[in-house]
Amino acid sequence: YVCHMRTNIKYSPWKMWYIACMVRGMTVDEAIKQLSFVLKKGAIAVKETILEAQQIAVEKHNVEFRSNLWVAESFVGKGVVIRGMRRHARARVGKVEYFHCHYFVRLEEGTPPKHYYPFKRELTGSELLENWLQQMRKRKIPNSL
Amino acid sequence: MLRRVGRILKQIENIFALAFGRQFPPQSLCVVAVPTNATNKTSLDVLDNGFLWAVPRSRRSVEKRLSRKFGYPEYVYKLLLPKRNLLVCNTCGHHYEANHLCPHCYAKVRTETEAMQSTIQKELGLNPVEQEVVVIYEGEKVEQPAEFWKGKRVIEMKKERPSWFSKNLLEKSTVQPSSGGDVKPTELA
Repeated sequence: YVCHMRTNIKYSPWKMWYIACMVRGMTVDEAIKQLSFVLKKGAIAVKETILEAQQIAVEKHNVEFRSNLWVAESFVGKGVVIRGMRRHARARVGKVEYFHCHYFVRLEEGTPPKHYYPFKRELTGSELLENWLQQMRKRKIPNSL
Repeated sequence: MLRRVGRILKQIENIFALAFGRQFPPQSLCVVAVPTNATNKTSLDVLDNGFLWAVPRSRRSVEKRLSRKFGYPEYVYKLLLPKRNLLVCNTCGHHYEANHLCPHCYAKVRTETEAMQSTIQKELGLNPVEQEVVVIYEGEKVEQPAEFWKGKRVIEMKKERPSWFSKNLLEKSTVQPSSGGDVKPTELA
């Protein structure tokens, strides 16, 4: 696998988290394609990071096909915070914080798994039936024996 | 407790002074002589007016916190979903959103348009445009006789015509130009 990061991106880490979440479990090509159409400032940095990581994988880590990579890990950390003050009306003071974030990505070779989050997969018919039966059998008349 | 009562009384006095311009209770009916310049500003009036009145009453439950972070799938989902309407442009090979223009092709057209506009501005300047403005590329002026360009302001671009820019923009490519005088009715009710 190939790890890459970009530090101190001028973007809020909590807003960047949404972009990092979207990219998880996608192939590198799909991730880059989708990020081109995300209307957020952080998407540009994330796309550049993934392209750099793909390049590093091909040049230094002996990856044969640059499309044979998928995003195994993609997360955000808090970077430098520049604090300051601003004035409001009636002698009130406001706190101003300029957040930066670090973006970390790990690419793995091969095809991505069908479900990155196992709990999010669609349940099969037999699993749904089992759940339904469990729900039905859990029922009880209150205060009965 | 006593402090709160004192503050409320002071506020009532302030309101009375603002409304009537006089002291309450009036100077004649005071039991103790109160000096008129007794309004001491030890506490900031600004701090009393609504400062720190809004405060959370109880801790937000984890369900509420997660709902604010992720949104509701039925209402407003805050997580980003991948777009499923992305297609591949046949001319340039880049991706574009369905029912939108391909951004790569549009950027190409836009640079050309800006070049045309800058040449027009350079040549015509701030003169009023009374005649038709025609933009032609290298080697196209000789194709037409001199009378063709007579009543028009001709702007010559010093580059070759791009391959994607056709000369015939007004004529439809599918319908052939007809020589007959009949007009076919359209949109019959």
